[in-house]
Amino acid sequence: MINVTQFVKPDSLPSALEELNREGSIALAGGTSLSLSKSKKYTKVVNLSNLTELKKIETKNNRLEIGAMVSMTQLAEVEDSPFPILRKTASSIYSTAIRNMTTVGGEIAKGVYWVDLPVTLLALDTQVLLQNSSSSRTVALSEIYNSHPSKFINSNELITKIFIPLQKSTSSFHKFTKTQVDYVLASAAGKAVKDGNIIKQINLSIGGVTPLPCLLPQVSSQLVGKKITDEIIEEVSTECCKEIKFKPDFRASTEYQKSLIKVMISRVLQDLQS
Amino acid sequence: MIKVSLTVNGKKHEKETAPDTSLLDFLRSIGVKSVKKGCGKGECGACGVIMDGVYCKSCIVLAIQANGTEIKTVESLGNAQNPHPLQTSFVDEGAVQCGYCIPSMLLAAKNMLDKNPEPDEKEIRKSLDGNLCRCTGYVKQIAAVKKAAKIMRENKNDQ
Amino acid sequence: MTNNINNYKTVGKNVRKVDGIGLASGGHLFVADLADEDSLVAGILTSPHAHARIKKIDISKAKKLDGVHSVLYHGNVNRVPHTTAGQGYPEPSPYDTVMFDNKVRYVGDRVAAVAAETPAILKKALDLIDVEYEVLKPVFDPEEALAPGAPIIHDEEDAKVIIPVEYDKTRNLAAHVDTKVGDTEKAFEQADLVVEDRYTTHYANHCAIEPHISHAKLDPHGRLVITTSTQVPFHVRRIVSQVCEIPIKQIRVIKPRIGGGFGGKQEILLEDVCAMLALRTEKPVLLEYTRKDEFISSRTRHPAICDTKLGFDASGKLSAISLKVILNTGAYGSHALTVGSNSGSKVLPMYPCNDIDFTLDSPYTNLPVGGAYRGYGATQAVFGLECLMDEAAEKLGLSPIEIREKNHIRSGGTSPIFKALGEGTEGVEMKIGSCGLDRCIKMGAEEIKWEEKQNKQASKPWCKHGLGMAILMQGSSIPHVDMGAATLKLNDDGSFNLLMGATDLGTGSDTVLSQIAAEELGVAVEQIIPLSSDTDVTPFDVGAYASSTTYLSGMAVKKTAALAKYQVLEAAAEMLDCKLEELDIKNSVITGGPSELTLEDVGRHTLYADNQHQIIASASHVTEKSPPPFAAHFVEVEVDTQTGKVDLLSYVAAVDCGTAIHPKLAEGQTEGALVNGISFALTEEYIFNDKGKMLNPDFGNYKICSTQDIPKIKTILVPTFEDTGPYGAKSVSEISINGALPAISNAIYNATGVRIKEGPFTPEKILKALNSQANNK
Repeated sequence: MINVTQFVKPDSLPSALEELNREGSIALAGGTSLSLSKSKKYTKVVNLSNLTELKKIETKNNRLEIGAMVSMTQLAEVEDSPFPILRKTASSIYSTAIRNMTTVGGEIAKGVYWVDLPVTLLALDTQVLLQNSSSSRTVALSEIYNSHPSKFINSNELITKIFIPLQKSTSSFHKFTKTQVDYVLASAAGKAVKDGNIIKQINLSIGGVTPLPCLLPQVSSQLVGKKITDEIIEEVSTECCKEIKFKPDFRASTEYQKSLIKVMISRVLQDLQS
Repeated sequence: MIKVSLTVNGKKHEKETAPDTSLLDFLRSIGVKSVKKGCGKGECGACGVIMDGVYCKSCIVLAIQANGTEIKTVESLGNAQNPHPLQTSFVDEGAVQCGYCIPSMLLAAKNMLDKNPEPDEKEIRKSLDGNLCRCTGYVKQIAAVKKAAKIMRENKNDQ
Repeated sequence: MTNNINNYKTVGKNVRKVDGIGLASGGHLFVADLADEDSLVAGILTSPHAHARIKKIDISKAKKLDGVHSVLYHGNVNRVPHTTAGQGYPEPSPYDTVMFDNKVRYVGDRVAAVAAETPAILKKALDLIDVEYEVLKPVFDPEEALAPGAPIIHDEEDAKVIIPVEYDKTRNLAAHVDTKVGDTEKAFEQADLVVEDRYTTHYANHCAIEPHISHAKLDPHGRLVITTSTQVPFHVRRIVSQVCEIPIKQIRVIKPRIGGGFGGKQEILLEDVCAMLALRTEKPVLLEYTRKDEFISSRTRHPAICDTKLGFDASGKLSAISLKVILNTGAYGSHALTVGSNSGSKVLPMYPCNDIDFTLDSPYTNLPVGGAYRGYGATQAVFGLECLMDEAAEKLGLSPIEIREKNHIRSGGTSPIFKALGEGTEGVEMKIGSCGLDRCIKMGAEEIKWEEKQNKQASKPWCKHGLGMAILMQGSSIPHVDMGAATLKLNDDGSFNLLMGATDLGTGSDTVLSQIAAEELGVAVEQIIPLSSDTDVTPFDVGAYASSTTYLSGMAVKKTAALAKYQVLEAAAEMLDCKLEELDIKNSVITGGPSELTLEDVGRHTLYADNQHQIIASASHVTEKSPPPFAAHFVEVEVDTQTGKVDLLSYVAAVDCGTAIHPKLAEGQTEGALVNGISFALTEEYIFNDKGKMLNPDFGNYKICSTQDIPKIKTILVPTFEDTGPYGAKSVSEISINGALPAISNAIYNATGVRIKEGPFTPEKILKALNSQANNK
């Protein structure tokens, strides 16, 4: 941050996007990561905190629209949320003061292994609206995470909103940490659309053990058309580890990471069972 | 250098600072030293302030990010002559040992009580979860917030 | 002396903590708040290698940098071997440290220091110091360090010990103790049951939220004034004098409010460098550790390997104990001998028997340096002892409570270990005065519902419920070694200045000692104005360590107050023309004479009227014994058998600290200690790579408890009366850090049948143990 000479706080999204359209610009959402950045490549910081239009949570067009500047605290306090797991996930993230500052956009853009919100958002089929000063595109979060946010999102682009399709479904999120306020060791989320007891569509996702949170398409597809039984849970939770490329973690052996993922996936499936 | 101008407890301050200066270092440089440094990474919570009504850790807020904002530190609660119920409850319950983490913990509690005047123990614990204290084991602090909340509710009813 | 606490006016009452409101309103009371605005900022360059010789070091580029005022390294400061341990003189720790050496012995060891005008210049200057290392083979395993052929860590000629204790740097042996009482070999042979095992404890950091910080400057008269976050201001003065080679009279050490210490600030870590930079630059200098420095370069809890062996007769009576401790002291021998010795002396007497073996080997390794840490050796050794007591109980068909009740020490009892084992010397024979252990056990068991919850089911099908307990002892001061002193002087409004060498580091000792003065004087506590630790102003005290402040410094204050009271009554008798013996002070009023006088009358009279003089008294105190506080800790857990995670449901600490001078502060000491003990047992750990570098030097990855991690906690103060302590008080600050390791391990066993013998009890470790138990079935 040492080379920053300009600091702007635009009052509207178009002017923010205009400001970001210059080289060396960086968007500041909550600032909890950027404030610690030692990067020398930025010359201008665009503070988004005045963009009230990005701080809304709305139900529109049969989907939940969440502004990128919605904080974790805000997300955790939504009453009657169609997705209680969003509340659960948001309220589990780090500590109060940080939840007050970190934003939906920031949590997605960080692109680190220990984020929690993207795990849940992946399971919920989240779409992300990316905008620059002249155009916009809506892409699946999974697409961004198949690459990396820092590569996928252009430097003049901003995450402005996310969309979660409203569907009659059940969902679940579990995470494992050593203490309550801790970087996640392993997490899993899932969403299932069922016909009676039979799975019509299901997404399982994981976090903590891979460089970025990711979906588990293979085991998920195996579950379609089936009923979740204890046997299936045992089978799927064991099977899913084969699909995961575990990243080394000085806090846990790969063997233990596998055990945790198995437990997290089992607990998600148990929740989806009922 | 970038000029930062902000209000601390109602008083306006303006100063040039390096672009990477944290709000914590900036506040201390203008003489607001109740805001403590314990880690510089947003992990211990000793630097907590209320910025435009939001409780945050000033070591992971850039000074320039706080430009134009209204900052509240523990001095906004009260002083030795005229302490806030939170301050007296903390002292009377034995929640203040070394005191290094206390100014920010009081602000975290204040920020929570402003939104939720009748918190249960779980909510109190959650509101203080980013304020590490190595002296007390937190038991007395949780009790002190409970007690202060009660006093604050009673004071409000009396008005 | 009365032992009816109800007769006291101030002692035993929760008076308002004297510094509470000032702290809670954000007063500028800490070193960083008090530093001169124009201070230079200083920093230390540390070693990236665990073991290396500095072949070349070039400071010229750093020195030339605009805004750099001084660069220190081994080439420009004198070599003065000393110990960083702030202990009584002559120190039992080896003199194996110099300010800067041409060798580094752990990742984080000092290489050079810089004082510069801004943090940015400082950082640049530290980066500009060129160091060429010859990397040497390191040794990390404490047992390997003692084996023949191991790399020698202290191969310098001048490392030495200054008291006659065993020290052999050619074998990496920083300390050795061998104490035998009776004949354990025979006793074990004759025992009906012998249990033995190896229990190990791990590195831990104090994590005071205020990092180490020192400020030094020359006053207009050329004297060095050091304002520093320390537990031992007088030791700071002595050691800075020694290392910087300036007379003690040239140094003033001021201790302001301290942001926690826990033993970590019983060490002279920054003061010598800060002082030297101030002397060289003739400018004020501020030197502070970052959190990362705290983890890597400050002091730690010595990790220990404890081999414990217990012999019992068929009835469950303990007949013999053998305890062999290997205490890893890291790169320097700070507190190695004394922490190691306390592993024996603060643990073994809990179960008196006639045949006891204790040996200590404390090897140097190329890892972080051990030091004083709340619990001081007892934490390490009581883990294995209390787990083995449970193991024996099970084999003998006794309950954990029964076996302890059968064997624990009681009032009037003694242990030969008290005399046999001191700190580098013989110990002091001691008969236990007060001991509330039996009541601690009973009340604690009742509170946690020990019987009722024996077969309680866990809340989830994959969890198991368990209960565990441990009993504990510590000491109160180091007899015949520690000294504390105080001064009281009367002001013209009847108030008293209480000047103490004793160091309040957040514990509340200024309040507790003011209460003792007030009680003895017969005045309200508000009439006492305490000032602790300014070496120019207050009398001497060894400092805040060894659980000594209330018991030792408190007695010095009590004696002082008695002398001051006598002077007051003397003056009052003169004023009233009556006999001194008729008079007493009650609530600041002199009563019993022909008419009443207030203390204000006496103050004003003696300062301004007849026979003018200052009423002022001083007294010192040295203890004859170190009466142990006792405690029984109980914990209720649930173990998640799928993840291995231990959830604490409730924790009960029943503590006998004699009279609790200030009950709420005594509870606070207990709760703070036990929560520290809980995270030490469960989550705190140093994770090293294979080069000896710590991988988790921050609160993000070194996990201490937050408000969300603590169980339901109940502290029970079990009153007893210690005749040798002020108003019956003993110590309280350290003991309760020791319970979590054994109590939780016992609870995990109770829940799952798996014994975890190695700290910390991480989920991964527990799951592994559960899996291997399942495989063995």
